[in-house]
Amino acid sequence: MNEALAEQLERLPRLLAPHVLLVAGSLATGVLVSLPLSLLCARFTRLAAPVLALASLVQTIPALALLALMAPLLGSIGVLPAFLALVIYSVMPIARNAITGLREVDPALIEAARGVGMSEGQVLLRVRAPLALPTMLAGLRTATVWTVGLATLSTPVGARSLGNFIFSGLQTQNFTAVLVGCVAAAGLALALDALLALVEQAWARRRPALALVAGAVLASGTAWAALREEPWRGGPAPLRIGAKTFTEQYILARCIATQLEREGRAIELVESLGSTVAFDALVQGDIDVYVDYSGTLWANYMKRSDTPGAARVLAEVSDWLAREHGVECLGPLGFENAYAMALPRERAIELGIDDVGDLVRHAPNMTLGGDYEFFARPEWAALRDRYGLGFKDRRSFDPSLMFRAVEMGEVDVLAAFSSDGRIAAYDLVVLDEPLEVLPPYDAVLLVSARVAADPAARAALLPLIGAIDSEAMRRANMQVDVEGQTVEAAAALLVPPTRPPAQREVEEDAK
Amino acid sequence: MQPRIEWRAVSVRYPNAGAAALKQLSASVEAGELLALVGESGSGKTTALKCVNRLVEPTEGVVLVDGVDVTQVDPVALRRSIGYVLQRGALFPHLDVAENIAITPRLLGWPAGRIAERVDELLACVGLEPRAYRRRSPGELSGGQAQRVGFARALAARPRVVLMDEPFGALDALIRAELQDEVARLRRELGLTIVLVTHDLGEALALADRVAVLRSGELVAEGAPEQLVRDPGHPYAAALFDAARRQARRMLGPEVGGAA
Ligand SMILES: Nc1ncnc2c1ncn2[C@@H]1O[C@H](COP(=O)(O)OP(=O)(O)O)[C@@H](O)[C@H]1O
Ligand SMILES: [Mg+2]
Repeated sequence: MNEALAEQLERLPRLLAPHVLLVAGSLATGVLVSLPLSLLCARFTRLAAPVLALASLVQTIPALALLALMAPLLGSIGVLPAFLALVIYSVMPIARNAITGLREVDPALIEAARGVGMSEGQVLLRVRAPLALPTMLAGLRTATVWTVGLATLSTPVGARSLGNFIFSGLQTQNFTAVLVGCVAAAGLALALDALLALVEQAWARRRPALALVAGAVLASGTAWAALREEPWRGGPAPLRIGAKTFTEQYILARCIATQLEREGRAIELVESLGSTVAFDALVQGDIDVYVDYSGTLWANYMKRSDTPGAARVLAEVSDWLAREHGVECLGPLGFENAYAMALPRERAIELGIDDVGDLVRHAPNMTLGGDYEFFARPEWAALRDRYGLGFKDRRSFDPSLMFRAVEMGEVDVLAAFSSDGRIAAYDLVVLDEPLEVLPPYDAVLLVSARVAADPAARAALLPLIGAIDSEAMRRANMQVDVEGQTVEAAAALLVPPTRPPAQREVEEDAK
Repeated sequence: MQPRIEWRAVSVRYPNAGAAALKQLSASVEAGELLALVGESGSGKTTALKCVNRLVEPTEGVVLVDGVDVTQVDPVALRRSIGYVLQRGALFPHLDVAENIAITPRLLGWPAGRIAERVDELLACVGLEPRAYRRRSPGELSGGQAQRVGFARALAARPRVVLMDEPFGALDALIRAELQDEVARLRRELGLTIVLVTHDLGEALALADRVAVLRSGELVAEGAPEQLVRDPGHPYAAALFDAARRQARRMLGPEVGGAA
């Protein structure tokens, strides 16, 4: 078998199990919510219209947005917000079908049920509900297929799922991973749908054995997932390492993992987090460590627009983190990942553009490309206003596609990341920024209060401080983004193979 | 003697409906009698029938069963004590034949053994071999068989009163005749009091002890078949009988319908 494929398949159980559990849990809850609701609507018919309207309204919220909103709403990340969003989504098809099914039972049969002496409750439970069951099951099937698909979107809020394959695969150009994730999700949806179809058959043909078979398969699948995941598991929680949705973050998360595992610590990677989700998660203690950038914290969280120099920014950011959020900044990793204006070398030479100031003149004929965040960030506003940049058009891209866009001439200038390996690979030049409008973006290692108070874990992480320079980071990024190596391989080259003995002595002296 | 069922000046006006569906109906059924309610579609037959088991509540007037105002009785208990037969049987498709028949005894909390015995007894009684039919689903029955099960379901809890709403509608002529005989036999054997709704006058005359003719919610004629045939008492009833007679004559020749 293909090695890249084998590697992805090895990850499958670890990501399939929580996916199955998430789907099973939210569907079961969805049924538990919508069935009584539907019965209530059947009994008190005036309820039906508002309930259905509300459910449809919820359905119009884009799934990704609903998931992303759940995290700040609940003030936590991980399974809970994903679970809640999926429950809300699954209620709609289940309730709609149940309400319709209950409503459309032949009136003659309802009359007969009353006539033979059933109370209204008995009419509902013994006649209307069983007769509506096929319609209800059809609704459950729809909900199942949706939920399996939507559960892949729970990755950015910090719940492990098959979406991890897709999100990280897209960012790191690992299309085998993307494919494995998609095929697994589609396979799961089809399998669950087939099992529910079997239950329908069992009911229609009065063959309880069939339903038992389907039930047994569903139960054992869920049991497998539950045993693998052990959501009830006690003991010390693993240290959770966060990563945002781009290559550098995936690589650094593994470097951090290696350090902690060497110390014998149990770790869990929480990857592909939305940009602000990661910081909030650290503050909440939902993750324990991740890498952010001083300028990002400075501009986006501290709302500062002055640029007093790298050292001052770093010091003030560290101070602010400790004071306001009880989060410790362990220190800079040694490289910077700044937003930087970049354009193809040939074009820059041809137009005589060396710095952002030179760009002003040509901007009206140029299109600027950036990631999803950039145009909403204070950094862009500052650049635009201070230099008077007015581009013909602006376009947002997924970072993995941005470079392709500049190569194909879809955009002229990129708001790129200075540590991105693709800057060199696509032969772009990074423009100087003489007014120093943008703050420095030193990569800094942030740890939760829990790790800050854990000397062994801190000590395991300290060797990373100052250990990764810009050149090394850019090379690692390029290995993944351009040369198609795995994130693990790039990380292995980047972390120091062993802890330098000198440092070990220092630490032991300190104890 | 106290009538088993009595309508006393019963009127029904459905919400959001123009004219009253039933206007000042007064009629009664003696114990063991079969009363046929006849009239064209929309004349209020079903409405009159449903007032007896409180599927419809009169706007005015009262209905008495064994001298008791039915509104004084819990409707669910009342319905369990009265048999109810609908067109085509109206069997529950998610239950098999035995389960359909067992419904009312089950609701009444009979022990399982007694219910099973009762189901087999009833199947035999309506002419269906228990072992062959018990576990069938309603979808596997012919129209006539389904209605036989419908009778069995109505009789399961040993009611003294049975209400039948067009029980022979939508059946072939042959099956229809067979089931009419069946009803005649059952009521003789079990001493049932029956209210039978039909729009077929011939059927009413053949089966009923007394016939009540409804038109637009009003009772226009009432009496024993022979008496009504002799003297309909109302132009509408006379026209109805005339039509029935002409039809019989067309079918069987002048000697049959010419008696009057
Ligand atoms: N639930 C109802 N709501 C409103 N009008 C009804 C309802 N049931 C019957 N009606 C009306 O009452 C009249 C009598 O109906 P019904 O008793 O069913 O007549 P029949 O059984 O003789 O055909 C008809 O005009 C019918 O349209
Ligand atoms: Mg009717």
